[in-house]
Amino acid sequence: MNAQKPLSILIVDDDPDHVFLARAALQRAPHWVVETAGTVAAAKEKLREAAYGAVVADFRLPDGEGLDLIDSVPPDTAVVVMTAQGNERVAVEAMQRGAYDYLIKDISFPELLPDVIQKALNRHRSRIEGARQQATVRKENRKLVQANQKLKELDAAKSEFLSTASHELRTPLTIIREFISIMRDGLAGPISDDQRECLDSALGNCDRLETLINDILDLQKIESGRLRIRRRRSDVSSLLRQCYHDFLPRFATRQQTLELDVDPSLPPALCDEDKIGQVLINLLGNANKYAPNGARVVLSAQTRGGRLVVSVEDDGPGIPAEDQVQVFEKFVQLNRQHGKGAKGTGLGLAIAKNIVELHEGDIWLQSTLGAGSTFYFTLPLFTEDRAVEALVRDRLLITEVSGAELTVTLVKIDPESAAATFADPEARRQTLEHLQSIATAQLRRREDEVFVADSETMLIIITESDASEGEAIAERVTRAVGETLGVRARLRQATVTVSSGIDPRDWIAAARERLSPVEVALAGERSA
Amino acid sequence: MGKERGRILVVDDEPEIVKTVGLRLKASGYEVLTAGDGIQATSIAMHDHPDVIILDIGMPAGDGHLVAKRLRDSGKSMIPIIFLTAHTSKEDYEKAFEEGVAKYITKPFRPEELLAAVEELMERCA
Repeated sequence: MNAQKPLSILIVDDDPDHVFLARAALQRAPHWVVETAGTVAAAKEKLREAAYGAVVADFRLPDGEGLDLIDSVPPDTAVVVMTAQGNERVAVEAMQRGAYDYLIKDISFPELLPDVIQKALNRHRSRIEGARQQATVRKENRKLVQANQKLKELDAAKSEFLSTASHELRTPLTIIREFISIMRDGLAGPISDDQRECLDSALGNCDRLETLINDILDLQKIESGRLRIRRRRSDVSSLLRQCYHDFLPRFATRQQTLELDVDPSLPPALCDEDKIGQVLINLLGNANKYAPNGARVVLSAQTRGGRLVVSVEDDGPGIPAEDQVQVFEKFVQLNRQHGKGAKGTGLGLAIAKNIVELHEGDIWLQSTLGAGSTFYFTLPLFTEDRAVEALVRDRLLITEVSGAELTVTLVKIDPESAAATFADPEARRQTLEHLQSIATAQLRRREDEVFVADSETMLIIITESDASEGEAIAERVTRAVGETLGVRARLRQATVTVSSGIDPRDWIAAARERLSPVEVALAGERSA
Repeated sequence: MGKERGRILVVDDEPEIVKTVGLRLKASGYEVLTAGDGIQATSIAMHDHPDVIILDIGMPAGDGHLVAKRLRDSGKSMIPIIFLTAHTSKEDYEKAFEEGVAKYITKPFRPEELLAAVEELMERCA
């Protein structure tokens, strides 16, 4: 055994024979120093004067009970109680009151004593250690909870501040912009060409400030998880065509050419068109701003590796390799050094990156100094499964913040049971659309919606509601669908309450497994 | 210039917004009425029969949503309303259209956009 600091053991017993036997027994353990006391009072006195590793006290003492000592023993001292044979009840009481062990004073007691003390010491030590660790964990935990709460408050305060600041900045900016604009348009008296040029420049910078306010708000929304995206089946080629036409005049003012190169058979993608439109505006806006006069810019899209790849290519000066990594970071504007006249906020690409990543896509840059730059981003192709998954995932991002519950209901229609309505593809499409609007009419919240899984003849209803409200909505929707399809329609339905932390695909799978037939109650017209 | 093209009520608690918007409208040949809060706006709208109301949302006495609601409740719903506001949230925007507001223009606005909206609403009423 390694060298230990000697530990004092206090034996409290009024019987000199027992004390003698105990001393003798403990002498074999040289790392213990034995002290004795004959009464409760004497023991208390000793406990006040010195620290003991353990106290071994007889139950019956001249001036009281060994148990009386338990309350006077400091917490780092283990207590063992000795009782006469046949008095185990006392022993149990002693244990309940905090003693570590008990010892029956029979013939074998001197032999057992060292072992009992050692065990009591060990148990006591591990209990104290455990308590200390628990206290530490509790303390750390409390700190984390507090820190987390603090962060949440700070984040909310930051959002609140930014939104108020943006609102408060808009009013003076509007007044400045309008007075400049009134002067510039000659409504406050005639102006010279030089003056008009000055005022145009002032107007341009008002617009720049406005963009900056909008971008900061957007980025703040994205970073705090408050940006809502709603991914849908989307015809990206028409989105690109729209952007192309919107940008043509801006490119023309700098004698740049803008070309559109879109595969006519481009399959539909899964995206929020408003948000991806914003990405395109940022990328095309950059090409327009940073490529020189007379540059050629190509906007194109194709499928590659099962994804849709959109690119904006320019034949401008290019971006040096060492700068390429940081272009997607906030407030990084390379052209501050590399060119003149380019005016941006330095937030456009950071916003674009965030939006693309919310779409589970990638965004990157390929550029060679002197040979132009190409920005690429990808979007997932549309499939029903992905669309449903995205639907749930996008909504979870919102309910995570709001704390609301999300319920998903599946209503599967057996097309055979309503053959006429699903006879040909056109009738089928019309029926499903009709059912979608019937089901949508049963929803109360604007954000709630009905998705049609065409291939499965299934409606998927997503509502912000708790389980019981969700069930009620599911019932209303199912009844409305059933009534529309008629008495012979066979429907199966399932409802699950969804929470974040679990893959949306698992929820849908769970709901699918639970699909069970529903009776469409039509005043008893239908038998089971 | 002869007769005015129409009578427009401009409501904003910022006098300089009222002034700039008024200047623009007058320059385009409109008669301009002004109000600095929602209560005043409601009363002018009731008595002076403007053709179009350009209305701020965030105002201390009776915000734009309230004015829109009050006018609709009092049977003056025929007067088309343009919200001209620094509120850019989607919620405000959607709420406005639920209230039957005809146009929603955010500050800072482009004068061409505002004038085009007024013109369109004037034509719609004619």
